[in-house]
Amino acid sequence: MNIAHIEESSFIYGPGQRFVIWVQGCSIHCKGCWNKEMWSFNTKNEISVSELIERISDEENNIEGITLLGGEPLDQFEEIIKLLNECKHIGLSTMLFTGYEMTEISEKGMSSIKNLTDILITGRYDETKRTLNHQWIGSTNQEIHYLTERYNNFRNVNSNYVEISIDDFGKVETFGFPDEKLLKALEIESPRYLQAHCQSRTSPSTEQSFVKELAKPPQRKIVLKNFLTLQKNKKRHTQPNTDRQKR
Amino acid sequence: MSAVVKTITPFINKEFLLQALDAIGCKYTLQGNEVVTERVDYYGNQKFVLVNGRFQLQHDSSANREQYPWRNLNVKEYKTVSSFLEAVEGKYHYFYTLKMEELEKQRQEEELIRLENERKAFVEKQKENIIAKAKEKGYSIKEENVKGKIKLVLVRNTY
Repeated sequence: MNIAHIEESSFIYGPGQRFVIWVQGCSIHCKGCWNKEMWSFNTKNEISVSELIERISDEENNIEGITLLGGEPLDQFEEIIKLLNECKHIGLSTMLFTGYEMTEISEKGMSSIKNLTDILITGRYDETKRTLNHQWIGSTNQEIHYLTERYNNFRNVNSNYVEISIDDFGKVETFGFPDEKLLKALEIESPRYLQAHCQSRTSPSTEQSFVKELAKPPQRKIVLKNFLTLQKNKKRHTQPNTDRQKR
Repeated sequence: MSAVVKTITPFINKEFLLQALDAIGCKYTLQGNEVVTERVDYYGNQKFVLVNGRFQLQHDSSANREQYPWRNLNVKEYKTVSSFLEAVEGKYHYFYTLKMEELEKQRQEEELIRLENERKAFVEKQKENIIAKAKEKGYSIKEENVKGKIKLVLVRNTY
């Protein structure tokens, strides 16, 4: 699969703690999408379904399920089906964001996706209906479909959700629905202006960049608590050149 | 709109930063606390400047374009700011790790602890800073620690 980014543990993309995968490549191209970096089908991180399953299985005891978004997950339909099948098989819940409408999913012969997802979120991102205040969706035309009984008791709470991740070197990653004011307060440039990295002379904001593989894994046991465990984890992270996610 | 916004690792240690620049073949001169690189953009030499305990690269904000008209001919491999910083970051991590392993091998516990404390203090400062600013903006914050990574979940009620 062509993968843009993986967050092995996230709390804002669905119920509970989830393994979140952003796929690379989108054929829909919604107007106003912040995440044009994920449109290209050029290979970003090629990861096989079996490797993904292995990584997800490693987290099995910590997560409630997986969430797929992108890019457009259904543009990699066959692989997505395999992945979701496996996740279902090991008892994880599944959630998928797509820019396609329900009717389009049927028309394109992709209805089987409905049997493999507990929660399916459908619809284009419509910048005229943009919202930062609804749980999960980015524009109010998008629809949340609960396709199984698994989350019968789950109730959406509409609020503004942001997740900030700080790694052991102090590197910050921001996910979710931050508004301009929050990004500014955190000295993070708006995603749409990610071209301006670091502290530029024409923009007084802070440093930004996209990073690749970090340090090598340890060759031997090291006494420092946390640090080396984290290094091992980092090796597995995909960290592509991306700025913004649209469904 | 759901964002994925990443920042570069904060370069808090000058020694590792210089080693990283050497390793990728970027020449520089030191001017006090500034590391002036040979990369010359529209505004002059790009330089790392110590701001709030970390070295930040100052540059023309347009210098991330593939076709940016560099004013010097030394910018060969890393033609954009992001690719340059990615390279520096990779080497920075490498030299940090190397140093820690060397210190451990030599049983120089004091220096090892000092470097670790420096790093941890910076991370803690980052966290506290983010929490304070998010609270100012009306967010409630839940902190999780997942495999050593700090996760801050910010929620602001909108009803």
